[in-house]
Amino acid sequence: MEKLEIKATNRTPEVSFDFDNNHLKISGESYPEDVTEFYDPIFEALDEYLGNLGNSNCRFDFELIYFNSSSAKAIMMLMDKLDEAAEGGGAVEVYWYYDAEDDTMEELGEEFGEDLDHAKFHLEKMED
Amino acid sequence: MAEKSLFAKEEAVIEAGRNVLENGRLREAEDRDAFESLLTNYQKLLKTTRRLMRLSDRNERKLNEMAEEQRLAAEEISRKNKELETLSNKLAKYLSPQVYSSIFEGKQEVALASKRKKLTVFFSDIVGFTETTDKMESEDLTQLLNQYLTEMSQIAFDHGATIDKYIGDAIMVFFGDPESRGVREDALACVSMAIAMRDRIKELAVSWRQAGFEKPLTCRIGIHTGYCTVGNFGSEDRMDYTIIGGSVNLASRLEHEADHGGILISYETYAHVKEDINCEPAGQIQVKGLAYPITTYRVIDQYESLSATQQTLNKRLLQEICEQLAAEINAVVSIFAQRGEIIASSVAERIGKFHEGGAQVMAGEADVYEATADDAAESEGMMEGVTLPIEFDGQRVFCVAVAAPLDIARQYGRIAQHWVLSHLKEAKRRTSS
Repeated sequence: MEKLEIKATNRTPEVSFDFDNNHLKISGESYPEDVTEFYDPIFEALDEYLGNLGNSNCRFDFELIYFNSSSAKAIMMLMDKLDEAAEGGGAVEVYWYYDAEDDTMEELGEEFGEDLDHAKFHLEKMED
Repeated sequence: MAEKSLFAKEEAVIEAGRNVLENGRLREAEDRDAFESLLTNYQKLLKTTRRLMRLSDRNERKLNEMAEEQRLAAEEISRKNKELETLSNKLAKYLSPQVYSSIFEGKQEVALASKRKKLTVFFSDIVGFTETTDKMESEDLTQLLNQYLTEMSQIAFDHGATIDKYIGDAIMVFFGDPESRGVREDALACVSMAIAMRDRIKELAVSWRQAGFEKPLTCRIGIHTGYCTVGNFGSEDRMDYTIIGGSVNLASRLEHEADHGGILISYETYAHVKEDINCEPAGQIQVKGLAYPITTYRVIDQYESLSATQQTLNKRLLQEICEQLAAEINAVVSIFAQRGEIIASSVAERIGKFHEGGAQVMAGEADVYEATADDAAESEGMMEGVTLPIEFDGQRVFCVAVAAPLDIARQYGRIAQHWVLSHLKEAKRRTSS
């Protein structure tokens, strides 16, 4: 499946979905003016990929510095999709990276991690 | 409002739902499963809503913190800007205003670079300054020198000069960079500035004498117009915006050759200012490094300053002189002012026209101008005769011309010269008494 690469802007994160290597990553800041417009293509590509995942491995990295409430809803949807794929047999691992000095992002990671019943969750400090 | 009470209604809905399930009010298993799924999703939705609200509150706090940080940063920037402004105002005093502005407005690059440009260069120094310093207390000397340099700098600033540097009592300025009004205008501004400085020093000399300085300062000024290399010289760490070249050396040399209280200019400068500034030839000087001698001129004054004398002797008087003299010697008699303008004549229609010979004599280029019958035949408006200068109070104020066959004109020319001069002296005596 063709890679999905979206460059970061000052309001949107960088998206790097390397489907062939089963490594997906989203990083940076997220407060788009229209959250649906930004995340819809991402959901679409992810649905297609996870639909064919089967029992394969998949790693998803969140490396976010800041996001607004609308983006939080989109992230929760991403988490749900990943958890469903894990429930369906995929070996899904979610990595949540946070800045060592950013307690908020660490706490949010913990909360999101609690929602995952099937995917394996890792809370990691970002390396400088 | 606490989060719990904010979601009290939703909590009550969930509680009621649980009761429905526990009380076994839903008998059909299908209905029970559907209700349970609905309740689970409702609980999840509430959880999501709560999380979004918490995130929204966190972000709000973060934004407030950032706004506060930004406010503090803006205060710091404002304080730093004020510090920089104060500092740059102090630094500005070490630079010529034009150089300072061109650097601060970004027009001038602060790098070792130079260019060739035609400038008018000015040098002045105080005559016998070293001798004066030996006799004075340093406090008095400081006060005298600072007052002198402050006054001179103000005049330089008023005339748009770029002050290059002070070297003890000497001042080096130039016109034409970084701003130029054109070579002629720059030269004129420079010589006008020199005259203003010379006049101001005369005024200051009176107050210095009253203040107890036995030998008040007099200065010498040299001016030359020519190509210079102008730009930043020095090292990358310490540079000076200055000018170098033969023209700079020549201006300095002219200053050394100037009379006490005098202004000596080169022919190049003279050529640009002669229409407006009364100058007289001051001979030639040899300058080291130059193969040819330099023709110099002594600056007398602005032509417009001379008009004070001329105005006291009004045109009616000059016209009477011309008419009386013409009747006595039976020739055409005319009087010329600056640039050879005919301001009085026994032939009325000549008044207001310009006379080439008169212009040359007024400009100090000649002490007598003779037009032959052939010259007169070739040039419209010219008549055979002689033109001679009238010097009054040490200044060349008019010319008188007698138009007649040359041999007669030569004889009557001198008589006319004396006649006009004696009338002028008499008129001045009457005006002052």
